[in-house]
Amino acid sequence: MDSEKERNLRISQMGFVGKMIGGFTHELKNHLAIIKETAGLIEDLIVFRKSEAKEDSAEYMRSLDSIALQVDKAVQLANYLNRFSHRMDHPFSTFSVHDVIEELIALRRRSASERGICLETDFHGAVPAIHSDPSRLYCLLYCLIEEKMLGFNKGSHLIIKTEPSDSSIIIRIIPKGKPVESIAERIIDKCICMDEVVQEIIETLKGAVRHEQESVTTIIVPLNLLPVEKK
Amino acid sequence: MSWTKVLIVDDEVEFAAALSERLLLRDYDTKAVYNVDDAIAAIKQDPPEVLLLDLKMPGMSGIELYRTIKEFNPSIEVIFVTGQACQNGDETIPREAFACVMKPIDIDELTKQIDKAKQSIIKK
Repeated sequence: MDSEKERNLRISQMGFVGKMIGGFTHELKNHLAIIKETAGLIEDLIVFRKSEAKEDSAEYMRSLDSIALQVDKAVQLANYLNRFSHRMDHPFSTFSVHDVIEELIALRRRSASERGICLETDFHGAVPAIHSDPSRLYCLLYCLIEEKMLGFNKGSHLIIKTEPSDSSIIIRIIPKGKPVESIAERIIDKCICMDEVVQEIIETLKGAVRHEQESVTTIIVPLNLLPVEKK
Repeated sequence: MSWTKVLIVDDEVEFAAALSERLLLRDYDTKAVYNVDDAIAAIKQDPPEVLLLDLKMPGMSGIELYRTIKEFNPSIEVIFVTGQACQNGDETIPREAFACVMKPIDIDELTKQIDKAKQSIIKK
Protein backbone atom coordinates (compact mmCIF):
# COMPACT_ATOMS: atom_id res chain seq x y z
CA MET A 1 0.00 0.00 0.00
CA ASP A 2 1.49 3.40 -0.90
CA SER A 3 1.87 6.11 1.72
CA GLU A 4 -1.10 8.24 0.58
CA LYS A 5 -3.48 5.26 0.65
CA GLU A 6 -2.16 4.26 4.07
CA ARG A 7 -2.65 7.85 5.30
CA ASN A 8 -6.22 7.96 3.95
CA LEU A 9 -6.97 4.65 5.62
CA ARG A 10 -5.59 5.92 8.95
CA ILE A 11 -7.64 9.14 8.66
CA SER A 12 -10.72 7.06 7.93
CA GLN A 13 -10.08 4.74 10.88
CA MET A 14 -9.48 7.67 13.25
CA GLY A 15 -12.68 9.37 12.10
CA PHE A 16 -14.61 6.15 12.59
CA VAL A 17 -13.20 5.66 16.11
CA GLY A 18 -14.15 9.24 16.95
CA LYS A 19 -17.74 8.71 15.76
CA MET A 20 -18.06 5.50 17.79
CA ILE A 21 -16.70 7.09 20.98
CA GLY A 22 -18.87 10.17 20.41
CA GLY A 23 -21.95 7.94 20.14
CA PHE A 24 -20.97 6.12 23.31
CA THR A 25 -20.32 9.21 25.43
CA HIS A 26 -23.62 10.75 24.29
CA GLU A 27 -25.52 7.60 25.24
CA LEU A 28 -23.73 7.26 28.57
CA LYS A 29 -24.42 10.89 29.48
CA ASN A 30 -28.10 10.32 28.73
CA HIS A 31 -28.24 7.36 31.10
CA LEU A 32 -26.34 9.29 33.77
CA ALA A 33 -28.73 12.21 33.33
CA ILE A 34 -31.69 9.89 33.93
CA ILE A 35 -29.99 8.37 36.98
CA LYS A 36 -29.26 11.84 38.39
CA GLU A 37 -32.81 13.11 37.78
CA THR A 38 -34.38 9.99 39.27
CA ALA A 39 -32.16 10.14 42.36
CA GLY A 40 -32.92 13.86 42.59
CA LEU A 41 -36.64 13.13 42.43
CA ILE A 42 -36.37 10.70 45.37
CA GLU A 43 -34.50 13.36 47.34
CA ASP A 44 -37.15 15.95 46.44
CA LEU A 45 -39.98 13.62 47.46
CA ILE A 46 -38.34 13.16 50.84
CA VAL A 47 -37.64 16.88 51.31
CA PHE A 48 -40.93 18.27 49.92
CA ARG A 49 -43.39 15.60 51.10
CA LYS A 50 -42.19 14.39 54.48
CA SER A 51 -45.73 14.08 55.85
CA GLU A 52 -46.95 11.91 52.95
CA ALA A 53 -44.19 9.30 53.06
CA LYS A 54 -46.50 6.26 52.78
CA GLU A 55 -48.36 7.62 49.77
CA ASP A 56 -45.06 8.33 48.07
CA SER A 57 -43.64 4.81 48.53
CA ALA A 58 -44.87 3.63 45.08
CA GLU A 59 -43.11 6.60 43.50
CA TYR A 60 -39.92 5.82 45.44
CA MET A 61 -40.04 2.24 44.16
CA ARG A 62 -40.57 3.37 40.55
CA SER A 63 -37.65 5.77 40.86
CA LEU A 64 -35.38 3.12 42.37
CA ASP A 65 -36.33 0.68 39.57
CA SER A 66 -35.51 3.36 37.03
CA ILE A 67 -32.09 3.97 38.64
CA ALA A 68 -31.26 0.23 38.53
CA LEU A 69 -32.43 -0.03 34.90
CA GLN A 70 -30.36 2.96 33.77
CA VAL A 71 -27.25 1.68 35.57
CA ASP A 72 -27.68 -1.65 33.76
CA LYS A 73 -28.04 0.12 30.41
CA ALA A 74 -24.97 2.27 31.06
CA VAL A 75 -22.93 -0.80 32.05
CA GLN A 76 -24.04 -2.67 28.92
CA LEU A 77 -23.04 0.29 26.78
CA ALA A 78 -19.67 0.54 28.54
CA ASN A 79 -19.16 -3.18 27.84
CA TYR A 80 -19.83 -2.62 24.13
CA LEU A 81 -17.27 0.21 24.01
CA ASN A 82 -14.78 -1.86 25.99
CA ARG A 83 -15.11 -4.73 23.51
CA PHE A 84 -14.89 -2.26 20.61
CA SER A 85 -11.65 -0.73 21.96
CA HIS A 86 -10.06 -4.16 22.51
CA ARG A 87 -10.78 -5.10 18.89
CA MET A 88 -7.77 -2.86 18.14
CA ASP A 89 -5.40 -4.70 20.51
CA HIS A 90 -4.11 -7.04 17.80
CA PRO A 91 -4.15 -6.69 14.01
CA PHE A 92 -5.42 -10.27 13.69
CA SER A 93 -7.61 -12.29 16.00
CA THR A 94 -10.37 -14.87 16.02
CA PHE A 95 -13.75 -13.28 16.64
CA SER A 96 -17.48 -13.47 16.01
CA VAL A 97 -18.79 -11.31 13.19
CA HIS A 98 -22.14 -11.21 15.02
CA ASP A 99 -20.46 -9.66 18.09
CA VAL A 100 -18.87 -6.97 15.91
CA ILE A 101 -22.21 -6.17 14.24
CA GLU A 102 -24.03 -6.08 17.60
CA GLU A 103 -21.45 -3.67 19.06
CA LEU A 104 -21.55 -1.46 16.00
CA ILE A 105 -25.35 -1.28 16.05
CA ALA A 106 -25.48 -0.60 19.81
CA LEU A 107 -23.06 2.31 19.44
CA ARG A 108 -24.71 3.75 16.31
CA ARG A 109 -28.36 3.17 17.23
CA ARG A 110 -28.87 6.73 18.47
CA SER A 111 -27.38 8.25 15.33
CA ALA A 112 -29.66 6.01 13.23
CA SER A 113 -32.66 6.90 15.38
CA GLU A 114 -31.98 10.63 14.95
CA ARG A 115 -32.16 10.06 11.20
CA GLY A 116 -35.35 8.01 11.63
CA ILE A 117 -33.64 4.78 10.54
CA CYS A 118 -34.21 1.47 12.34
CA LEU A 119 -31.23 -0.92 12.49
CA GLU A 120 -32.08 -4.64 12.66
CA THR A 121 -30.20 -7.93 12.47
CA ASP A 122 -30.99 -11.25 10.84
CA PHE A 123 -28.19 -13.57 11.98
CA HIS A 124 -27.68 -17.08 10.63
CA GLY A 125 -27.28 -19.56 13.48
CA ALA A 126 -24.34 -21.43 11.92
CA VAL A 127 -21.93 -18.58 11.18
CA PRO A 128 -18.50 -19.60 12.55
CA ALA A 129 -15.86 -17.35 14.13
CA ILE A 130 -13.40 -15.81 11.68
CA HIS A 131 -9.68 -15.08 11.88
CA SER A 132 -9.20 -11.64 10.43
CA ASP A 133 -8.53 -7.96 11.19
CA PRO A 134 -11.47 -6.96 13.42
CA SER A 135 -10.68 -3.25 13.45
CA ARG A 136 -10.72 -2.98 9.65
CA LEU A 137 -13.84 -5.13 9.30
CA TYR A 138 -15.49 -2.90 11.89
CA CYS A 139 -14.50 0.24 9.96
CA LEU A 140 -15.72 -1.29 6.68
CA LEU A 141 -19.13 -2.18 8.15
CA TYR A 142 -19.37 1.26 9.74
CA CYS A 143 -18.74 2.98 6.39
CA LEU A 144 -21.20 0.81 4.43
CA ILE A 145 -23.97 1.03 7.06
CA GLU A 146 -23.40 4.81 7.41
CA GLU A 147 -23.69 5.25 3.66
CA LYS A 148 -27.01 3.39 3.66
CA MET A 149 -28.28 5.42 6.63
CA LEU A 150 -27.54 8.63 4.72
CA GLY A 151 -29.07 7.25 1.55
CA PHE A 152 -32.52 6.39 2.88
CA ASN A 153 -35.43 8.46 4.17
CA LYS A 154 -36.89 8.57 7.65
CA GLY A 155 -38.91 5.47 8.49
CA SER A 156 -36.57 3.13 6.61
CA HIS A 157 -35.13 -0.09 8.03
CA LEU A 158 -31.62 -1.46 7.55
CA ILE A 159 -31.33 -5.21 8.02
CA ILE A 160 -27.86 -6.66 8.58
CA LYS A 161 -28.08 -10.28 7.50
CA THR A 162 -25.37 -12.94 7.78
CA GLU A 163 -24.83 -16.39 6.31
CA PRO A 164 -21.92 -18.82 6.00
CA SER A 165 -20.58 -19.79 2.57
CA ASP A 166 -17.78 -22.38 2.13
CA SER A 167 -14.64 -20.59 3.28
CA SER A 168 -16.21 -17.17 3.83
CA ILE A 169 -19.00 -15.27 5.53
CA ILE A 170 -21.54 -13.21 3.64
CA ILE A 171 -22.90 -10.05 5.27
CA ARG A 172 -25.75 -8.30 3.52
CA ILE A 173 -26.95 -4.77 4.28
CA ILE A 174 -30.55 -4.75 3.12
CA PRO A 175 -32.39 -1.42 3.10
CA LYS A 176 -36.19 -1.35 3.29
CA GLY A 177 -37.58 2.08 2.58
CA LYS A 178 -37.47 5.03 0.21
CA PRO A 179 -34.05 6.27 -1.00
CA VAL A 180 -33.30 10.00 -0.57
CA GLU A 181 -33.31 12.01 -3.76
CA SER A 182 -30.55 14.44 -2.78
CA ILE A 183 -27.06 13.17 -2.11
CA ALA A 184 -25.84 16.50 -0.66
CA GLU A 185 -26.12 15.25 2.92
CA ARG A 186 -23.76 12.38 2.22
CA ILE A 187 -20.76 14.63 1.60
CA ILE A 188 -19.83 15.07 5.30
CA ASP A 189 -19.42 11.39 5.98
CA LYS A 190 -17.66 10.84 2.69
CA CYS A 191 -14.71 12.57 4.38
CA ILE A 192 -14.48 9.54 6.68
CA CYS A 193 -15.72 6.85 4.33
CA MET A 194 -14.12 7.63 1.00
CA ASP A 195 -14.86 5.06 -1.69
CA GLU A 196 -11.17 4.34 -2.18
CA VAL A 197 -10.79 3.71 1.56
CA VAL A 198 -13.66 1.22 1.50
CA GLN A 199 -12.01 -0.46 -1.47
CA GLU A 200 -8.64 -0.48 0.28
CA ILE A 201 -10.06 -2.05 3.43
CA ILE A 202 -11.86 -4.82 1.58
CA GLU A 203 -8.69 -5.56 -0.39
CA THR A 204 -6.63 -5.87 2.80
CA LEU A 205 -9.31 -8.18 4.18
CA LYS A 206 -9.07 -10.21 0.93
CA GLY A 207 -12.81 -10.00 0.53
CA ALA A 208 -15.28 -8.32 -1.80
CA VAL A 209 -18.05 -5.72 -1.70
CA ARG A 210 -20.86 -5.93 -4.23
CA HIS A 211 -23.64 -3.44 -4.78
CA GLU A 212 -26.66 -5.40 -5.93
CA GLN A 213 -30.27 -4.80 -6.91
CA GLU A 214 -32.61 -2.83 -4.64
CA SER A 215 -29.60 -1.11 -3.01
CA VAL A 216 -28.49 -4.28 -1.23
CA THR A 217 -24.77 -4.29 -0.40
CA THR A 218 -23.09 -7.68 -0.03
CA ILE A 219 -19.80 -8.06 1.81
CA ILE A 220 -17.84 -11.29 1.52
CA VAL A 221 -15.05 -11.86 4.02
CA PRO A 222 -12.85 -14.98 4.17
CA LEU A 223 -12.99 -17.09 7.32
CA ASN A 224 -9.22 -17.12 7.65
CA LEU A 225 -7.14 -14.08 6.77
CA LEU A 226 -3.51 -14.90 7.47
CA PRO A 227 -1.19 -12.04 8.44
CA VAL A 228 0.84 -10.72 5.54
CA GLU A 229 4.50 -11.53 6.10
CA LYS A 230 6.87 -8.57 6.06
CA LYS A 231 9.33 -8.62 3.16
CA MET B 1 -41.05 32.85 41.35
CA SER B 2 -43.87 30.40 40.77
CA TRP B 3 -46.19 28.96 38.14
CA THR B 4 -44.08 29.63 35.13
CA LYS B 5 -45.48 27.46 32.35
CA VAL B 6 -42.74 25.07 31.25
CA LEU B 7 -42.84 22.43 28.51
CA ILE B 8 -40.14 19.75 28.40
CA VAL B 9 -39.49 18.12 25.01
CA ASP B 10 -37.18 15.12 25.26
CA ASP B 11 -37.37 11.60 23.80
CA GLU B 12 -35.77 10.18 26.97
CA VAL B 13 -39.07 9.51 28.74
CA GLU B 14 -37.61 8.71 32.18
CA PHE B 15 -35.47 11.84 32.13
CA ALA B 16 -38.28 14.15 31.04
CA ALA B 17 -40.82 12.61 33.44
CA ALA B 18 -38.47 12.87 36.46
CA LEU B 19 -37.46 16.43 35.58
CA SER B 20 -41.10 17.39 35.10
CA GLU B 21 -41.97 16.02 38.53
CA ARG B 22 -39.05 17.87 40.14
CA LEU B 23 -40.09 21.17 38.57
CA LEU B 24 -43.72 20.62 39.65
CA LEU B 25 -42.48 20.15 43.22
CA ARG B 26 -40.83 23.57 42.86
CA ASP B 27 -44.11 25.16 41.71
CA TYR B 28 -43.39 25.32 38.00
CA ASP B 29 -46.45 24.52 35.88
CA THR B 30 -44.67 21.77 33.99
CA LYS B 31 -45.65 19.30 31.29
CA ALA B 32 -43.45 16.81 29.41
CA VAL B 33 -43.82 15.44 25.88
CA TYR B 34 -41.57 12.88 24.25
CA ASN B 35 -41.67 13.52 20.53
CA VAL B 36 -41.73 16.34 18.00
CA ASP B 37 -45.37 15.90 16.91
CA ASP B 38 -46.67 16.02 20.48
CA ALA B 39 -44.47 19.06 21.14
CA ILE B 40 -45.95 21.03 18.23
CA ALA B 41 -49.51 20.00 19.20
CA ALA B 42 -48.93 20.96 22.86
CA ILE B 43 -47.45 24.34 21.95
CA LYS B 44 -50.35 25.17 19.62
CA GLN B 45 -52.96 24.08 22.15
CA ASP B 46 -51.47 25.62 25.29
CA PRO B 47 -48.27 27.59 24.64
CA PRO B 48 -45.67 27.45 27.42
CA GLU B 49 -43.63 30.44 28.51
CA VAL B 50 -40.41 28.46 28.61
CA LEU B 51 -39.52 25.45 26.48
CA LEU B 52 -36.83 22.98 27.59
CA LEU B 53 -35.74 21.39 24.35
CA ASP B 54 -33.51 18.36 23.78
CA LEU B 55 -30.95 19.05 21.08
CA LYS B 56 -31.09 15.62 19.47
CA MET B 57 -34.32 13.73 18.91
CA PRO B 58 -35.52 11.11 16.45
CA GLY B 59 -37.06 12.51 13.30
CA MET B 60 -36.28 16.20 13.75
CA SER B 61 -33.35 17.82 15.57
CA GLY B 62 -34.04 20.24 18.43
CA ILE B 63 -32.69 23.06 16.26
CA GLU B 64 -35.14 22.30 13.45
CA LEU B 65 -37.98 22.14 15.99
CA TYR B 66 -36.75 25.43 17.51
CA ARG B 67 -36.98 27.15 14.11
CA THR B 68 -40.44 25.69 13.45
CA ILE B 69 -41.75 26.85 16.85
CA LYS B 70 -40.25 30.33 16.53
CA GLU B 71 -42.07 30.74 13.21
CA PHE B 72 -45.51 30.40 14.78
CA ASN B 73 -44.78 31.53 18.34
CA PRO B 74 -41.68 33.75 18.68
CA SER B 75 -42.54 34.76 22.27
CA ILE B 76 -41.60 31.37 23.80
CA GLU B 77 -38.18 31.38 25.45
CA VAL B 78 -36.21 28.26 24.58
CA ILE B 79 -33.57 26.63 26.78
CA PHE B 80 -31.68 23.82 25.06
CA VAL B 81 -30.94 20.77 27.19
CA THR B 82 -28.21 18.66 25.67
CA GLY B 83 -26.01 15.65 26.36
CA GLN B 84 -23.22 17.13 24.26
CA ALA B 85 -21.32 20.41 24.33
CA CYS B 86 -23.52 23.46 23.82
CA GLN B 87 -21.19 24.65 21.07
CA ASN B 88 -20.09 22.08 18.55
CA GLY B 89 -19.23 21.89 14.90
CA ASP B 90 -22.25 19.93 13.73
CA GLU B 91 -25.17 21.69 15.35
CA THR B 92 -24.50 25.04 16.99
CA ILE B 93 -27.19 26.37 19.30
CA PRO B 94 -28.94 29.37 17.69
CA ARG B 95 -27.85 32.73 19.17
CA GLU B 96 -31.48 33.68 19.78
CA ALA B 97 -31.99 30.70 22.09
CA PHE B 98 -32.29 31.85 25.70
CA ALA B 99 -29.76 29.42 27.17
CA CYS B 100 -28.22 26.00 26.93
CA VAL B 101 -27.70 23.59 29.85
CA MET B 102 -25.87 20.31 29.71
CA LYS B 103 -27.02 16.87 30.85
CA PRO B 104 -26.78 15.64 33.54
CA ILE B 105 -28.39 18.87 34.66
CA ASP B 106 -28.00 20.84 37.87
CA ILE B 107 -31.59 21.52 38.99
CA ASP B 108 -30.63 24.81 40.70
CA GLU B 109 -28.86 26.05 37.58
CA LEU B 110 -31.84 25.07 35.45
CA THR B 111 -34.42 26.78 37.67
CA LYS B 112 -32.26 29.94 37.66
CA GLN B 113 -32.30 29.92 33.86
CA ILE B 114 -36.07 29.33 33.79
CA ASP B 115 -36.59 32.26 36.19
CA LYS B 116 -34.35 34.48 34.05
CA ALA B 117 -36.34 33.47 30.96
CA LYS B 118 -39.59 34.37 32.74
CA GLN B 119 -38.13 37.78 33.72
CA SER B 120 -37.11 38.34 30.12
CA ILE B 121 -40.71 37.67 28.99
CA ILE B 122 -42.12 40.07 31.63
CA LYS B 123 -39.71 42.80 30.50
CA LYS B 124 -40.84 42.40 26.90
